Amino acid sequence: MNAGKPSGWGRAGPPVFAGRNILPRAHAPLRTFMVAMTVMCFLAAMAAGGMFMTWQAIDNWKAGVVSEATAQILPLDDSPEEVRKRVDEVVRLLRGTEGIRSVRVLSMDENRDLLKPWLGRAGLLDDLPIPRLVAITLDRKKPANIEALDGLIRVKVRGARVDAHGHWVLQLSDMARTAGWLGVAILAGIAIAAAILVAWAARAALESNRETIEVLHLVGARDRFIARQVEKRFLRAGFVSALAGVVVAFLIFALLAFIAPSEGIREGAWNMLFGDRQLALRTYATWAIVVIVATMISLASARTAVIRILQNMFRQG
Amino acid sequence: MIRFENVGVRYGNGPEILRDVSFELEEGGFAFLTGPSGAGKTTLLRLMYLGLRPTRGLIHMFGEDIATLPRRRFPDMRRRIGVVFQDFRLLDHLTTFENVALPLFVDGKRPSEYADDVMELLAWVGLGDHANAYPPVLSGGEKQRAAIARAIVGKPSVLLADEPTGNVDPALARRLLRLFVELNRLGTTVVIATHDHQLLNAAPEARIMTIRDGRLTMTGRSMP
Repeated sequence: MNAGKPSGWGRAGPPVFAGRNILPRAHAPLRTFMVAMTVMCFLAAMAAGGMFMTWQAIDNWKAGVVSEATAQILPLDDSPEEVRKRVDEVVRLLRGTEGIRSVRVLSMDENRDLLKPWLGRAGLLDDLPIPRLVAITLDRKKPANIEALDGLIRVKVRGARVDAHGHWVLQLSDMARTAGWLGVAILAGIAIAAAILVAWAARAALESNRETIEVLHLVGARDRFIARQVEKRFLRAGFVSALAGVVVAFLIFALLAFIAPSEGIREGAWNMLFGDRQLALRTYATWAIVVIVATMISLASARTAVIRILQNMFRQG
Repeated sequence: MIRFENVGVRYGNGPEILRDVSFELEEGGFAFLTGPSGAGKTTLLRLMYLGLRPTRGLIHMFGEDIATLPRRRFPDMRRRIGVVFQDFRLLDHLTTFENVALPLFVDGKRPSEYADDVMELLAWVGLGDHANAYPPVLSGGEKQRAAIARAIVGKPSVLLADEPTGNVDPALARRLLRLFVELNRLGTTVVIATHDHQLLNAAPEARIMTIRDGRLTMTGRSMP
């Protein structure tokens, strides 16, 4: 048992009103609240990180598709020699166009390989008039105008045209938009679930402190004083828990950046955390917002719960 | 100072615990509140320390009607009332010193302002060597004395004590009663709820408030 004058007057012992907060520092319901908050913030941070990685992957894919185009030369009824001449003409025109990095004529075997998934390996492919394809890689910095090029090719070479994969780009854009909204929906869902869960946990934690709150009330503490004590405790608990959840999510993504089995995931995680400055900033800012919002939710929940408890304290029997 | 008029209390839809309770305690009065267990002594004390709102009737404390008193003024009112709870209600995570100093701390006073007074009071109730001890390691009697010290540290106008000598030996009970009498001489109105007849006999000048079946009767020299 400690004895003597309390500390603060020159004797060893526990500090007087340690930390200036007179609620118990740690107890089971507060710990439950902290665990719930940590898990929710971890999920939110993982969802946000996953969302950014998906967007990044789609952006990369889209960029790849956008920087490529294909010239198609229909065989019509020409002899193979005639078709080859038209192909050569297309290649010549393409090579003479600014904004094109490379041009490659796909062999007939490559063409057949592209059609195999739809037409199978049977002899049907040999009987069909398969168009010749020319793969065009555009200069990403100054890409050629595909529409103008298509118009030129169509005029200059019979049965030839250029396709910029617009259909695919459109689908990818839709997919990116869907993924974006899905990510936002997941984040919103987690935020709502977190708010409800945290409100319950906060109320449970405060109910377990009811005795302390009642005593404070009865010795003359003002509601404002009690609310401030409770808010301070929950502000700290909410902030620490939210930060812990986000830090765990960061560590998992960092781990993925180094040891994920898929190179795409490794690259994506690395870019999101360290590689792509803009993306990393966006990720860290989102995680910071998760911590701030979670702390605010803790504070609001605690305030609501404490006010309800205080208002119920002097009631009609 | 404290005036009850036809006060009734019932919990929920249950029977009335207190019925038509009317009395007046003048400033500087000393009264014992007695009656069988479950008669409503603690409920009456709860009404007096603003821990419960009556179902009916009027309560005036310090000249104010409790029913119309704005909630923000309750803390000021409560600071004029010291309460010794039957179950002590000490906070286990605070030291004995901190528990006793709690009313001063919540009033915004700095430890340096009240440290000597609190230590002196602790010494007076025999807890001078237990200032840094936490309630779980105190005996029942020690907790009782700490609770009494907390109730009187703010020099309240009214002291309400629920069985304050229930956990102490007769010698300490007499000493505590002397403390209450001394506080009363200094102007504090004292109301002690007790079963202890020896305590009642030790203060023959005190008024006796008896609750039986929810009804209050008063005897004593200064009954109005």
